[in-house]
Amino acid sequence: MLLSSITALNVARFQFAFAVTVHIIFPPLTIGLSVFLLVLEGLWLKTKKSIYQKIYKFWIKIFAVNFGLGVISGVFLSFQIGQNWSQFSNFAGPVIGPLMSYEVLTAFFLESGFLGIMLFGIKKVSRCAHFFATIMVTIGTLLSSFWIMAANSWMQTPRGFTIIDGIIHPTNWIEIIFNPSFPYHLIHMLLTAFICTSLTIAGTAAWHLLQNTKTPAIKSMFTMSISMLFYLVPLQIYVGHQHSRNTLIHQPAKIAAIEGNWETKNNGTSFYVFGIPDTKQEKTHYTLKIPYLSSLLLTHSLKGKTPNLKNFIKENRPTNIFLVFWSFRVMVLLGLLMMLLATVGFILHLKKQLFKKKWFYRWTLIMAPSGHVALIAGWIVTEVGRQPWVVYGIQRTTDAVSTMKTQKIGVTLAILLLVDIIIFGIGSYTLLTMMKTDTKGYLNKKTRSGR
Amino acid sequence: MDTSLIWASIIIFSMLIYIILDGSNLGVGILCTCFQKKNAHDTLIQSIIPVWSGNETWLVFIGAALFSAFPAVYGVVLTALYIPLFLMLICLIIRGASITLRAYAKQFKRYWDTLFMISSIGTCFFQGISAGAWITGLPIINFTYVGTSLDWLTTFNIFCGIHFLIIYAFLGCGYMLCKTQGAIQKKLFFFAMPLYLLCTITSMIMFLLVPRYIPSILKKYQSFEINYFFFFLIILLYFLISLTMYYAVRFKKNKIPFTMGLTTVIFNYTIAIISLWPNIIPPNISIWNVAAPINSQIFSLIGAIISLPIVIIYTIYRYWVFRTIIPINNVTNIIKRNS
Repeated sequence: MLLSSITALNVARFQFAFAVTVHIIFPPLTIGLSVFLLVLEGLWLKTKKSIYQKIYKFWIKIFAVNFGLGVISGVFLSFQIGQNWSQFSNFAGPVIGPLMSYEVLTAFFLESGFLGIMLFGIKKVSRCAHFFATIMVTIGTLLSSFWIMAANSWMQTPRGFTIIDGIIHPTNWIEIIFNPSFPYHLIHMLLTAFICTSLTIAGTAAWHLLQNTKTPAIKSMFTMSISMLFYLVPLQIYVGHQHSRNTLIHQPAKIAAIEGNWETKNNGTSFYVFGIPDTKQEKTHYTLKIPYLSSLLLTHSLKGKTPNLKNFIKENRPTNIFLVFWSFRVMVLLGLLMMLLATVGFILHLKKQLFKKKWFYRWTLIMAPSGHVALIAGWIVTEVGRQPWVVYGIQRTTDAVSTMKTQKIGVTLAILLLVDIIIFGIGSYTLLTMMKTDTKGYLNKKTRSGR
Repeated sequence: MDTSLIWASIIIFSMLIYIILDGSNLGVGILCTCFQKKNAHDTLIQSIIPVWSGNETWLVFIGAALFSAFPAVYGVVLTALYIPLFLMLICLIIRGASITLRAYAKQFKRYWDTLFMISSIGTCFFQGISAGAWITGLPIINFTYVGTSLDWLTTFNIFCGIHFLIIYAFLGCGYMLCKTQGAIQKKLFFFAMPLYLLCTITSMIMFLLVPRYIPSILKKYQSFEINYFFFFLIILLYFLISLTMYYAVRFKKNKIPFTMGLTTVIFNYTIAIISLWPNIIPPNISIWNVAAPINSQIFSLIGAIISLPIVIIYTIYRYWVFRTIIPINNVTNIIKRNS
């Protein structure tokens, strides 16, 4: 059973899933930190307070390492599409290719072109030129997410094309880029990036606070990130809600899998807080439910009808319902916990108690990786929930894969696993070490008075 | 308007830029093997830190440009050269990681340096093998690769890999001569001439081997009326470069070897392109056979025409900002300041 499921297709899917999961750890921090650094440099140029410069100098190194790791994991991905998914490349290349070349032209060149100046040029160019470089890097990261989310959301809700001789021909680029799910995907992803970054900064500050180094720089980092979370998390929950209502219209099968819902219920659908979806018996076992909640959330009425899996023929249902179901719950749970953290933090801040509660530092530190976990869980919901399609409703994943031997792709998968786990393991360890040790004393008031 | 032709020119141009920019960075990695001292490694690697990711972006652009203008090529060539390209990408991962992480590795720094050298060599070698396999021609039927996974492992392709190693090392040597001084520069001058000679010898062998191995290119050469004149030109050019190189090494002119490296690369590259043109997958698939729908080509062309000049301008600006020679004594300080 298990051995027979090892086909070239499944190995290719696993290889892509692994490579893309490794990659997605880094870009959110690149996006978020570039904006954070831009704000810091702006504040520093405006107020001339060295505290901002110190925080800038502390984070820019972390930004650089994170950026490097993001680039190398991304270069690999861009070629894997052609290697393992050549049928997809042939078929959808006329749409995906131009979007990706726009990403390289407008974003990657901009980022990597100005990053060198941003990192090492501080003594070589004027302050304004340096600030300009920071702006360009930030614009680059934002444009990059724009184009890649356009490509991804087009695969979710394809529009603006015709199929001639088995190949997609684009007809309307505005419809392709601004496809129905694009705004939701883009905003959801950008907010995720900012939240991940805020949690990372808050966690870093909390670590230093737990070491009893309460310098103004660390305090300011902590306050900034906690208040950012207070505004961003509720906004993100609202955007996520709208996103799922958009998915309800365009990809009802995905929603049915998220809900673990097999039958139509006329008296409103309950939300399963817990459950084990069973594809064979077409049932969700051991459910713990909140009545009417699904209907209420999705249709804004207590008895609204929600999609169910039995409405779709078996070949059109998401292939791994269990994974979609549980990833969604992990994401939502973490979102709610972040909301709680931010609210408590903000109340403490208003009461001027933020730097008096050790338990709050600990809690923030534990929550620091939750942004990344929620991000990966959310992407699993989107991508696994899109199955069995690679281009939704147009091309199946089984038709997208290159024709190749299982052994070849199996061997390359093994090499990739080995290299990626070692390299990105050390990379992530380095990043964490940089966050928790302040060797240069940038955040420490006593050692240095700013240069 | 022939958009396929414009796109092909853009890709040909970008490949040349990539070979020059990243080639010289890769060459630095190869040359590191000739230096034992950690201090020298710092100097050499320091010179490429601000520029490597920008240079690697050209490779990503070539991929994306092929994907958007000739999607079938992207799918077919990448599956045909699956293993060498996969190994090249793995080397690129290791190389990028070692450049990024070595500054923070403390006692493990020398292991990263070793990885940096191995992965730079690997990247060049597998790039050369892929290039060799590509120009030899790929068995394609109906836009599907019909060869085996190990078709790329031929003597000619391996020779091509070695040829790339030598050319990149020569470029890297020239690039570093412009960026260093003192003992390191002296040692680099010592390497410049042998590298150049190796480069010439392998180039000549390539010129002789290619028509022998690849009948379609032989046919092309034979159709040239000016056949002998053509070969005379090659020899004359290499003779002139040799004289200039001798002058540069003898009188320690540190900018000339890089210029000569560029000349050699541009010349060899032009000959390769003329030999293949207008085939994008040799021996018989031309750029017009695999063109993307006109809508896709025009849409991405607009972006390319607007962006590429700007990209080139700030690439030059970036090299200008970091034009300074890296002083030997301050290297460790620079590393410390930047880490």
